[in-house]
Amino acid sequence: MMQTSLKDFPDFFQPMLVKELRQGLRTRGFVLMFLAFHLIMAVVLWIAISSYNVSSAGNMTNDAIFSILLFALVVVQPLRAQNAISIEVKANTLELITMTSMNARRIVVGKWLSLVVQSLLLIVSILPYVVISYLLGGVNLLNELVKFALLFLASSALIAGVIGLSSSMMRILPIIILFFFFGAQGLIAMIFSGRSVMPEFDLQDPQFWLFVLLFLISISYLAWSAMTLGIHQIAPAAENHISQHRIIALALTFFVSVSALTWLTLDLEAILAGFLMVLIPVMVLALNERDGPIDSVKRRFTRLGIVGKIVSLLILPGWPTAVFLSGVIAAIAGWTVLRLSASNNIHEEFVVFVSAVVGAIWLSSMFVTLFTRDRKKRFGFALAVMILLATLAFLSAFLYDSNETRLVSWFFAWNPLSYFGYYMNSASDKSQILMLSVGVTISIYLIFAVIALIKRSNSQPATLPSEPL
Amino acid sequence: MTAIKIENLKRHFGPIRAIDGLSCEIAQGSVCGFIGANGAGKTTTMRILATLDEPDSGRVEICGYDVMQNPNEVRRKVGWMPDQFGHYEHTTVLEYLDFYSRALGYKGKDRRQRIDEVMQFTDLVPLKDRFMNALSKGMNQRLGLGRALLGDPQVLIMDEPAAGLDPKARVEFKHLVRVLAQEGKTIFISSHILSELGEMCDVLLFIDQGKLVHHGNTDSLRRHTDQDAGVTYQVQLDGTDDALSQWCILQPDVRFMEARKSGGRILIQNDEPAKIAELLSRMIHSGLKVTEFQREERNLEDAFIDMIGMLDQKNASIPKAGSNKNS
Repeated sequence: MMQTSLKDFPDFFQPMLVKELRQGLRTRGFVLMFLAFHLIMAVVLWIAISSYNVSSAGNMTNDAIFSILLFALVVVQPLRAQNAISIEVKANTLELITMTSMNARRIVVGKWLSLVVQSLLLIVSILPYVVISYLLGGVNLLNELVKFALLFLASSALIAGVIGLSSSMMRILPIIILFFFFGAQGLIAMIFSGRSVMPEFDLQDPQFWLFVLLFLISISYLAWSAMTLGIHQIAPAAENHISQHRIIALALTFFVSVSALTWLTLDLEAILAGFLMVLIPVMVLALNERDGPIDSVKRRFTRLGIVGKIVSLLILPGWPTAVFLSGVIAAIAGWTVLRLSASNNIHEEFVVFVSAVVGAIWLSSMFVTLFTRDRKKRFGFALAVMILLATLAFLSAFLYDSNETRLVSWFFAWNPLSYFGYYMNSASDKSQILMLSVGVTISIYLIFAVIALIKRSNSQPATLPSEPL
Repeated sequence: MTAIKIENLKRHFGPIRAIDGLSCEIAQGSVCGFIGANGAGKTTTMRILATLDEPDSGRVEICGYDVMQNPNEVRRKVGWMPDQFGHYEHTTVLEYLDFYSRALGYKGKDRRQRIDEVMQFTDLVPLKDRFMNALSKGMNQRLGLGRALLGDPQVLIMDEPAAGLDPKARVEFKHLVRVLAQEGKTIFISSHILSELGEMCDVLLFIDQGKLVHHGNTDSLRRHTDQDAGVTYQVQLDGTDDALSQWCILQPDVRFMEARKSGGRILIQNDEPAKIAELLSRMIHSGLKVTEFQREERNLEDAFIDMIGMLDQKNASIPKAGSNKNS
């Protein structure tokens, strides 16, 4: 009997990883990036050695390595991930994969792993240049390796986020990636360069490692949330990927709360940002959830008796429990902030900021529930509305500042984000009325959103033919 | 034993009822043809059977497992072959099958053996190193069938598998289906080429506007539609071309349908053997030199068209809600 001889990858490699690596390593994108990278490095090395003194040559080579790697890992690799799921849906291949024993999580994780392995290949291939720059002198090798490791982790998280989001919003993803790139470039330059705001980091400093820990927790949670969104989009109703996310979100909420109240000496702003980081993915996932779980999912909770029923209020898939969980997280955040504000002066602008963000999310949710019935397009639609709201808020803040007239503020009063702009731009207008109007507007939007959701859940059908699964 | 059980299945797309209360049972080991006009709900039904779509209501069981509650169990029993499936770039035939066999949980030697079996069965061995985008339609369908068979499914669901194939590829495909049926697999197949379904299938399901309108074998489908229409016979004469049509005018139970060279086709209302013998005798006694008298078998295409026509008539005769009864 004929024996096929395909032994390029061992059995323990995930099937999706094998498939994506076979394809990915042959793509023009990867091959060109790889060749271009090494060509540029060779040229930089030649220029550095021939034009500078030895220690400057080391620094120059090192800067070039980091800049090119930053571009490759934060722009090129995420851009390659932007169609990861949508291309399979379009080509009608995803449903063939779901017919195997691979669940949605293994499909998405396999795609992510493939790009991460390719990034790792790229990093490993530049190590000879790093060693050369070290030998040229003026370079702290350990610091450089830590830098690369952090960049690799950040890039992996970004790729995970892009893959997760690729199922629902392919058109605006490149813009977001580039936006993130410029943001990340500024942030990384600030943190690592040692030539601008932040000093060169010290590996002996516990604060640095605390920063690294919080950074890793944050990016891991955000990336995993985005992946959960992608997984949830392609998973059949019988697969429950939501409960796990909600448990982690709750655990993180408690972690932030307890840390803030006991040992973590961070600003109130950072703590609020931490709560928002936990809350926003929960709300985004809620937008994409079905009205309720099917029986087989429900049974896993109900067979645990009264405990299962109580737990299911928070983690059973479906938008009603997602809304309830968001409320619980917001309540814990509010309670923590109030406890902290007894010893710190709580800043009004942060209350406005949080209200404006939550209000904008609820307003976009209202639009979503009113105008989109396709569950898999809701997040993209909501994000588009948010971007529109932010643009209008910038416009209103600009008009308000240039005309100094209150009429503009009333004209844009329906947009919660515009309050944030007025508040930050005009110190004299920090009035209770502004805060009150933010609250009232947000409440009205929330009521509309809930009414629309209830109406939708009572209407048939809940799905459209365009849904791939 | 029942392989596929569908109970009051409903699936709506907005106001459109794609499937409207479909119920049927398919026995294990049978080859079932699924017929219907475009938009009748065939693909939607098949996608629900394959766990790729979710019904609004009703129940579907494959080999005893509910498609909604136990989709993973169902997927182990089912092989799905859609009418079209996308290519993977930079992927050879062997790599494609290797990926799916890994995804199905095959390891090491078992995996290689299973791929070998499937490639030999579908005659893909000479194509194993060819990239997917360089395959012809027929090769592609064989690859699709090979992929669907990798998991050794008990139930094979195929949506328009012969569409776009040339005659040679169609014959090869029919042969493969026959072999699979002999192996005892339940095959649920939709096709527009009804004559082929007639040759392959033990059972035919006819669906119209999401409802099952016929469940039986090919003969019963033919009977179902031609009971009032009569039976067609082909008659050849040794003589003038219009003698047959002239004779038919004088016969109350015979209608001349179509002139052919040296004869034509006639429609006889009563198909009892005694009546046919008596009619032939009358023909000969009236001076017609009959050289050939042969009953025409109604093909499935005719039966399908008749069935559609009957259903259209039936739908037209039902007064619409809110219409004026006096008009």
